[in-house]
Amino acid sequence: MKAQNDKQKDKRMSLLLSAVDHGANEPDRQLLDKLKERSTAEFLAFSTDGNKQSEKTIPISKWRIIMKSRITKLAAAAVIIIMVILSVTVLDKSIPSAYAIEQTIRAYESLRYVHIKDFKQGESEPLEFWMELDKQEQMKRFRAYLPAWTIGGGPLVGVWSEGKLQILGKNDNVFVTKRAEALASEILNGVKNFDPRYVVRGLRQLEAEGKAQITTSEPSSKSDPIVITAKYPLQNDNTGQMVLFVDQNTKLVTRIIFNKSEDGYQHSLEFSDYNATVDEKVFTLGVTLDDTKIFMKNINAKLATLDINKSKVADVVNVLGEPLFYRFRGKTFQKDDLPEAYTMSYPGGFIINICKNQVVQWGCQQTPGNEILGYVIADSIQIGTPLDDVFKKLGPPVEIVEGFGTKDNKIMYEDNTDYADMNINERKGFCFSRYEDNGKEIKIYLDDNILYKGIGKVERLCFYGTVCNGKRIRFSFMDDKVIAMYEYRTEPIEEIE
Amino acid sequence: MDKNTELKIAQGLQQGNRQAWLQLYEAYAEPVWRNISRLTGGNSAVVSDMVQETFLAAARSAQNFRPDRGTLWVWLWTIARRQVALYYRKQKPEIVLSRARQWWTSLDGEKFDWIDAKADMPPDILESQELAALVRCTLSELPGDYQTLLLAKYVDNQPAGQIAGQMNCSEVAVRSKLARARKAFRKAFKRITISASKASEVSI
Repeated sequence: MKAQNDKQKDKRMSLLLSAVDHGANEPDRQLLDKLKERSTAEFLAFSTDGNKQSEKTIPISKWRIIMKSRITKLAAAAVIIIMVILSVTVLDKSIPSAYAIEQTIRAYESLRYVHIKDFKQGESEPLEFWMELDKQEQMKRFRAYLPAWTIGGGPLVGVWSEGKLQILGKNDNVFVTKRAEALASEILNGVKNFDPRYVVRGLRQLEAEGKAQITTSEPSSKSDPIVITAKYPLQNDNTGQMVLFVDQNTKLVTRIIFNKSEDGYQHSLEFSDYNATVDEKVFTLGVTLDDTKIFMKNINAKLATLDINKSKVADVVNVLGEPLFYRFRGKTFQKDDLPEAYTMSYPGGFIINICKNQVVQWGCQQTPGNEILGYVIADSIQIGTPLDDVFKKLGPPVEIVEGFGTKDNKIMYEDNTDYADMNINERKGFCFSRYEDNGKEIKIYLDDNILYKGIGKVERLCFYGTVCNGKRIRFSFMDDKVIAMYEYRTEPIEEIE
Repeated sequence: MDKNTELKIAQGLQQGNRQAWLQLYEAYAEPVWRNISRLTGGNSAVVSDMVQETFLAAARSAQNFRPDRGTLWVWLWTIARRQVALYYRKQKPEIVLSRARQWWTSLDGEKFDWIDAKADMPPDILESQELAALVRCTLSELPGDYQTLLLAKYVDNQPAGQIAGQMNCSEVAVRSKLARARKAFRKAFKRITISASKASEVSI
């Protein structure tokens, strides 16, 4: 009887769990066969060559990922263009002997840096792409500027460096940071599908079939470019024409005109700054005044949507986007490997301190040379506001304490306890933290409504905390001007089970 | 796969033997595909992406495979499961789940008995996409070995002996673990659906 009952239960369980088979698809044999080859190549490459990724393996999935992203689509497109240039020039057999195609190929072998502009017919602003490669021809950094015509909405700027992709919307105040460790190598590895040898083979086939025509003209004047014209079929049965301009001195392509591209428009691509000295600013976001200005726009309205006592990290990210960095004690952390307590750093010196996935405080620090205002406390106080104006707004301090380190300073607490471990629930006032020469961190808890002057043995440095409109706020002053200001939670941090 | 074959493949992988990799691939590519497809809902582009990521990641780390830490399947499924978890984290299929939860809340019947397998679930419910979404969500929250066991036993209808071979344990251990897996499944399912009921009460 029991056995029968068990059998029936098993049957019911089986029926229930088999629900997952609804809509599930059978293995795609064709795809699995392709994957077998790729994964075998990857396995052999890793077995014989340490940890290097096989250049032969370019999974379709990578391409799918790449092509899903507008930024990476652009990046891939730009590099593909270079490869196409190579393949077309290799293909051309009618070039006079004065121009050896190998010279162009060699020139591209030592490519380290290039700036590409794509001018689309009828659009005033070009799409731009900057790319830096290392000596191993791996992508080191790139920047892409996508004007509105490429993506709809406002223009975007994206930079990729050290495995991190940052995207900034110029008009829409979009700021996104995401880890994309393998992005650049994936792009480059993917582009190797367009190895000139294979592309040339295909084009030669087209030429043999009478589907592609290539002509070359090499002017006698060395200052004029070699002009290569290629006519080729488009996917929609139309014929496209591509004209390449090759610098006679450097043998590098300087311009390509697509008289009719796949999108039906004429495109003119300009290639410049080949192997020029890299301007570091090109590959960074969040340090320019423009970018900070965008972040600071409407920041108060955005913060108003967050409850400082209840907001979790996910809420913050939803409202403000991903930070530039996750940091604590000078160390940068990855998003998926964060300590219990850390700081989320945004443009313009805006930071949010997090403890146990909850907001401890948020605020702004002065960032010399990048002082874009926007964050305001108590309606009018911002970075740079004079100390006197602060007290006019908030009322005068009940006491002024000068110096640092004596009992009279009302130091509430002092040790080298980690931020994550400090008992925030027993805090009376705000916390001041500094490092001793021996690296020891000192934390000092200060009372509200008292102006502390000369803190940390810096005469010009003052601190003041109070409650305004039901919010706890605190300020740091240097030379009697606000250099940092924060709002912080009034309720204890919840313990995470 | 018997122990000897498993051991040979493991040794081959450590030595970078092409044949070993092919044997592993032939044995497990389809099962990995099926299980990923079951847990994610069958979008073929998504499934193929995850299968590829799984095998490419496996190919890169195959040399470091240690048979004493578990079977080849357990190792492979650990990699695949990460892809599934990543999918759930990225896609946040909350809308589908929310709809499924509401649907579950609105159902009449002895729902606890259905989940405890004490009563038959009506066929139209068994066939519904909402139930599939809830079961997938529940399974995705379980540990990898529970996922493997439940799918092997109740969806693939594998005998305990075969599962024992795949997981390198005795049949008794499989049965015992299955009991725990069922319990975990029911608990997770109830938690998901009960929280749905509460949410529904609040929203009303």
